[in-house]
Amino acid sequence: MATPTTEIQDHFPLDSVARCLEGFETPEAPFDPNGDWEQAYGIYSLGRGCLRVGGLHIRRHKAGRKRAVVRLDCARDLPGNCRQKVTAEIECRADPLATPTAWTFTSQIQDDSGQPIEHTPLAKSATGKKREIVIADDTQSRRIPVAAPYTLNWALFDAVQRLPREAFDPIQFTMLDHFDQVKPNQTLSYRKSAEVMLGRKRVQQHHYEQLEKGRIRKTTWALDGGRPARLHAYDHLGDGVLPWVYWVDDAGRLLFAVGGIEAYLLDRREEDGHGS
Amino acid sequence: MAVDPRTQEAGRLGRPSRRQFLKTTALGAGALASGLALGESVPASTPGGSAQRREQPNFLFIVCDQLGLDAIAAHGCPDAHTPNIDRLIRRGVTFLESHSTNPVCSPARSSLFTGCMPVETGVITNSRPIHESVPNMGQWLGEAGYETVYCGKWHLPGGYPSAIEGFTVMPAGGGQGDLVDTVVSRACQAYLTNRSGQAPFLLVASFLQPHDICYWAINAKTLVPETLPFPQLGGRLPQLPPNHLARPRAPKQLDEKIYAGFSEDQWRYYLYIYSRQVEMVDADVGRVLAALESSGEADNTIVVLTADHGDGRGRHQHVSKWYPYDEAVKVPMIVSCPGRIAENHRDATHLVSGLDVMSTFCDYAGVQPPPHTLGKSLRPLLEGKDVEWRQCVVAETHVVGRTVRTGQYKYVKYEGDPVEQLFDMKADPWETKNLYDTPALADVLEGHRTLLTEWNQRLKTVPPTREFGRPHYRRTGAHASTKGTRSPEKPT
Repeated sequence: MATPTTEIQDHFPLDSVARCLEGFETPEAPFDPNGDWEQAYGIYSLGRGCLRVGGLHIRRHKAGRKRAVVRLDCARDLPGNCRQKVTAEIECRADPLATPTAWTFTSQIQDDSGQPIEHTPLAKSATGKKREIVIADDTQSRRIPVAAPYTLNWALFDAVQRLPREAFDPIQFTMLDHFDQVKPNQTLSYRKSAEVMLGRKRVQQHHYEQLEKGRIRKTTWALDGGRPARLHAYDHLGDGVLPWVYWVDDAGRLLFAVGGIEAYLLDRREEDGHGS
Repeated sequence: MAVDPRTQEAGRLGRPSRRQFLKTTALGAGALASGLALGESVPASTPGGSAQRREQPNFLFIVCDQLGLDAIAAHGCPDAHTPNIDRLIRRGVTFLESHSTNPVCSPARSSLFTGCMPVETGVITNSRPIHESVPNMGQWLGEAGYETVYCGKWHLPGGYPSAIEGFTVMPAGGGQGDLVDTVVSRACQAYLTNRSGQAPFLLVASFLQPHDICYWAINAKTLVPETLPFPQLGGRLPQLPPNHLARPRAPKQLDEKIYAGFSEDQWRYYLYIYSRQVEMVDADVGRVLAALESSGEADNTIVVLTADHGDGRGRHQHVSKWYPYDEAVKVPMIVSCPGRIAENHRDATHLVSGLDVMSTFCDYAGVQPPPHTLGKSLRPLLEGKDVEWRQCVVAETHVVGRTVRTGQYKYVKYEGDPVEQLFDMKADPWETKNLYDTPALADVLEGHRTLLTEWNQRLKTVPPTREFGRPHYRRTGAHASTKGTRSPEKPT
């Protein structure tokens, strides 16, 4: 039996980003979540509408059969045309959680000319072991106990693309949020699959209505265009994080991640080199 | 003519006015206005001199937004895991009778950063600047030789301005806590890692969480659907508070402001989200504390963690703040500095206020607090000394409301409203029974009215400052009186 096609607005929490997804172009290129890939996302604030506040560029390269390297560039817009820039290189296992074994990251706040603001640059490296991670900079290191299995929040962008497209036993793990914040009791589970119309645009429709004293023109909004896509959704719940829902397409490509009033939406502009 | 007791006290102690203070220092108005550059040392001729400066501790002032006192695990919350704030509590003193001066962002913050009540700072509602006659913490401690750095939410009036008088600002975003707080904690971590100056520092890490919970009420239609969006949470959702349906008789402005749109499941989901946001800010607090420990300055840094106000959390069917009930008024006040002050001590006796941070910092810095502050230094309490303490704390609400909290009772009066409130906070901590018309408590009621009158006489009010984005001052009945009004001064 054919699955009925639904609208974005029919699906929590995609409904909260519906306006941002008007005209969304469904990717058509082949995609292998186990291979090399490169994707860009716009970061959106949903508190007051749907406001783009930064971008995330993420690249994965296979490093043999059992490992991969994920590289990140993240930029957040700040007041005064400043921005926070974060870069990272993460060595991962090619396992369900993209378990990180070693990573480096840098962070700095740049002024409106792109120069780092004094005292804001940071560079750290980390190694992950079975029960702890060790985070170090030029001068010292810090050991943080962590219960395995664990992963990084942005490594999940890689991991969810290889999850089964059907119900599975929920995956329990510890998350290292933003590289160093230990958040235990995380669960990743299958939510649902659905046929969803993507790329619809709201269009004005005019029609005339005959009233007793004359004819008036009425305007209504309707959704037009778009293409159906088979999407699969996964829930991520846990301590210290809002509930996140990840949406991947039938090839496994992560299209959208929505957590409360924050969202990452696949950005075709950035893929074309036109993103922020 | 009534004499302001603080003026008397200031005179008795030879306490200088800010103008006098500035005149006696080597740093002039230019430095005051621009703040000090990061890492820049201060000339030795500032108050106290170099010998004093070596003894001046650093201050790490952590401000959370909308964090209720009992939203923390170590304070009894069963729904949130807050290992970092809990650790801070174990390493210091936590005040369990800690009260906001006004459970709204800007007014409460104006008190935290000046030691004055909102009617004395001119910030009687959100998005107003501190009156120009009132020095802020950055200006005051900057003059005393501190490197003063601010990162995060300000809201006096701008939420995340690129400049704050008296502070060097590290830009860190804005809008919503889930996006901005990690930038704030990372910037503070970087500052603590990279700073090189010899001057003691005042670092303000001002986080926005769990304030994001406001959006779960504002955007309830999409964020809190009628059908629980994550059914697997079922049994893990927090229970409703015992006073969820309590509706004690209240002044009209309070009675009108309940949030009646949620089902029980929606309320419990709202509480679940709030606790996650509390955990998010806990993680950012943890990052800053870890950086402080790694910096080698932890033993010489006094850490204060507080909040501007709490959140309704379904108590009295409230979301958000504004109310004189404890869910909005009571906030954490945690002070830690291992080796200097008591550790793992819970103070459930002394009534403390957002007013007290400024006086406490000044006390430890070895400088006089600004004149006209009603705040008290917490230092003797932190060091286990037996001192005479205040009888009450006062909070402002809805511009015309005043709350007087004594050891056992809470009294609420809204100007022009015949309904008052009196709660026995020992017998009825959830504030369910308004006892104001109980004949046996007539003397208690009258006593609290007198306390409020005396309190009002001590205030040095200023006209409300101009609300950001509004063309004119909004004057209200609460500020019609000119008695004790501080005349606006030009910046020195």
